[in-house]
Amino acid sequence: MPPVLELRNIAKTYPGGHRRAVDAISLEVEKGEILSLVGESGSGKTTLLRIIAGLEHPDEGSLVLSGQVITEGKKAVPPHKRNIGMVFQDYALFPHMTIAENVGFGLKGYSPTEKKKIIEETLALTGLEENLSRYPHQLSGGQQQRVALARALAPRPNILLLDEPFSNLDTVLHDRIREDLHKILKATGITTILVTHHTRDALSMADKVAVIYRGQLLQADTPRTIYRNPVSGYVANLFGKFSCIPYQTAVDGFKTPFGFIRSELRPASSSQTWLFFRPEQVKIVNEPNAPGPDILEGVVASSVFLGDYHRIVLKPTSDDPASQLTIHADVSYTPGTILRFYIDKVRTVDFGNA
Amino acid sequence: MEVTAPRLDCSVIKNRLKKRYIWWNGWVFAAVLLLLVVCTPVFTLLTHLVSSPGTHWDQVGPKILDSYLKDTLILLVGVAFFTFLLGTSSAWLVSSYEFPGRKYLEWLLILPMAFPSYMMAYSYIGILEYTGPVHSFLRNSLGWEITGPLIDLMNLPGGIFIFSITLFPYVYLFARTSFVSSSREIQDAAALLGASPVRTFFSVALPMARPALAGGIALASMEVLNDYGTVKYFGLNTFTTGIFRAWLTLGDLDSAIKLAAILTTLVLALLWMEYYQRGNKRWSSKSGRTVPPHRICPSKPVQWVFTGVCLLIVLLGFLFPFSQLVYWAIKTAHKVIDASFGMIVVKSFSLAAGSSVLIVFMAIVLLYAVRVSGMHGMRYVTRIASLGYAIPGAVIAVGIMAPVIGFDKWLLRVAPLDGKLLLSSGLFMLLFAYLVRFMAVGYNAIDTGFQKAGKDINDASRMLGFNTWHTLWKVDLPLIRKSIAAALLSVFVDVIKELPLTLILRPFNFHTLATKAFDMATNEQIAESANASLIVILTGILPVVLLNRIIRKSH
Repeated sequence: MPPVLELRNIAKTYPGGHRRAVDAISLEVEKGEILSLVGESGSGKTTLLRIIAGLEHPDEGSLVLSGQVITEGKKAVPPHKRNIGMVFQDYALFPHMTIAENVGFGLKGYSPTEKKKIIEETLALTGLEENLSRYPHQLSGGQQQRVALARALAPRPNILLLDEPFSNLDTVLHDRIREDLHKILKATGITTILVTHHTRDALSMADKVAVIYRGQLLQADTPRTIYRNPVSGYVANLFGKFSCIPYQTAVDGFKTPFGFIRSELRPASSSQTWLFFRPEQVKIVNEPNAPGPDILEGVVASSVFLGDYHRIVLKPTSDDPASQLTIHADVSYTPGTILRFYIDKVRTVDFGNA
Repeated sequence: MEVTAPRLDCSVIKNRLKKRYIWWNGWVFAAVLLLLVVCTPVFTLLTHLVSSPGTHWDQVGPKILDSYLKDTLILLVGVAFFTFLLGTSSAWLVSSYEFPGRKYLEWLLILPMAFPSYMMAYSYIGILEYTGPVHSFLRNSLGWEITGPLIDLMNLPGGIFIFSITLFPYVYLFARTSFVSSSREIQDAAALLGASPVRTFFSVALPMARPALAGGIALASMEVLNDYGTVKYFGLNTFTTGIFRAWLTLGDLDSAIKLAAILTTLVLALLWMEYYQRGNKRWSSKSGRTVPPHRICPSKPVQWVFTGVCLLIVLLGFLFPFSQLVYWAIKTAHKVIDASFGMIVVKSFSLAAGSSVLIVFMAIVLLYAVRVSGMHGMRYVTRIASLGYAIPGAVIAVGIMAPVIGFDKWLLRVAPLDGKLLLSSGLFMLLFAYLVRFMAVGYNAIDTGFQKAGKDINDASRMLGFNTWHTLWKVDLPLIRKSIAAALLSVFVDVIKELPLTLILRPFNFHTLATKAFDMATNEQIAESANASLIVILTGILPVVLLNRIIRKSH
């Protein structure tokens, strides 16, 4: 089965822009998939979303929707013919229309009763229990978002686009709405493209995450792979704290400043590679003096309380100022304490200069 | 949350999707056409700037340097200085100090705007003439024997006075908006650093208001360059009177156009100066928080002085001249008001209504093209259409007359319509000229409306399957209806007040309230002209009051 949406080499430069806002991006979105475009503000992710919507036109490349080319060269299918639904960052609800009128706006060719039924069904789906004759300004931010989602879903679009859906919600609401939205999207089975700068949202909601940096696609993969096997230091850093420590290859493992790690991995020795792991892969060994293979040792350099965990930075016991690693612990440690730990599933990376 | 959802499975598209050229857009086409039309007068002038002079150039040419340029520049400099002085000081008083009557004075200070300057001039001549109230008072109550005029206003300083007292509200409005909206924190910071209110004004508030003040002064200068009624009445020799003399007295359109072209160059220089001084600098506060500055409460005597200053300005700029007009109007009503006067009122109002509808319609087309074209340059291109407001009426008039009369002459040769002139005999040229001159008024009001509504609303509608035309009707127009009303009203009032364009381009024997008032006043029937003037001014007060309410609401 062909992908629902295919981006081929999409590029765009804004007039007066110093570099390409979108730089030769190719992507495929499968049916029913939730794709998340992740990047800092100004990375070009929203531009890409607007190109898919047909609201912007790319300088190069083409767009294929369900096997039909909808954007190519100087020609494009106008936005109102694409049957793509979009939820805008500020929702863009029509302030002069009631909730029912907003949701029913895109429904064409239905009888009033059919229309009413669809409006009610869609609103029930999004979980909005409100008087339908109220106006957008009478609703809370979360409710407005549900109306915007219902409005986009009502005409049964091929694809749903979500532009920073959580940016206008406070933190308390944020998590709940994210879970609800994920349920709704999965229940309807709609193909979704979601733009966000919150990596947590991307990891928890998406089937596929595409990391965009300065208009370029750095990596597109499952959330797990992106988190565990980032292609560059930038991607690694975007999704959380990580540690990189130098090593020397030995017969049955790696020699590191913190001790010896047994491993079957045999990295190519051509370039400078590092051992890569996330803080939660590091497990502290509490029994003192418990000898054993793979047990490493480090001195606590700093310990910071961050609410649900303490972030501990460790230095090697030997004098090697260059390397340090970060771990998450349940308790705090005074600097100077010597900690024993092991690393779960370590791997090597070659981040080049990034 | 339990979700029982219908599977929204629509990934198979039944119909073939048709691609279109992205730049092909009816709106863009209409906007470009409209721009070309609006630019016609400027094109005409530019081509005549280098062409051979007309038959009477030997009479017109030499006067440029020794009177037209000199008088125009003296007027401009004088008016710029006094509008700055009056506008800034009154704006600072009402926005930083509390004193008795401040609330009322705040909007009374805008009212002079409702006066066309030529009507202000008639009124002041009446106040100061031998039979006027000032003379009568001095003669009868104080027993002074004065022969001749008390103060002669019919000269350059008099002109500067009349223009300054009518046009200072432009500066006042801009300055007040700037003073009120410049963040309170910045002024508080200045105060905490030990600056006195006076120093805060000169070193913080005034520099921050600079672009706004320059904008206000530029607008006032445009009005001076546009004026014909006042300078004609006072016998001053400005470019505008020169253009009128060349065309109406000497019948030399070529020389008139040449003068107009030189004046246009002057205006463009003025515009450029305003633009240049603004540069890339930002004067507004970055935080965007606009808590209005708290007003200082000075001692009682000082408060009364402030009240007195503002009241004096209001008296000079509105109450005295307005009372004089009311007095005249009542005295001469029985002579003036008859069926033909009623016809003039009807004609004036319908002309203004018609042109405001036309202009606002065009402005919507122009700005909607910007909104939906997706072309980033469109916005700047359409700005050209709003330059007409800077070009003096007389210039637009001759710039339109030449091509239209040329077209009619050509038509007469090709297909004689019983010797009738198709375009140049009716109201066509006048409407055309209003369109060029007042496009900016409609453009700015509609632009504000679109900006406020936001672009997402339009995008959202198109994503839901509506084309640009339906989106305009169902979403955009309902959302900007207030701006449309404001635009209609502003253009309406501007057309009612308009004099120089109407004088040159109106059909034979066609009168509006403005031309009637002008005709009577120049024929030594000042008192009789008051009825027409009064209607014009009362119409003008309406948007002034509304404008003030809008400014107040937004802060």
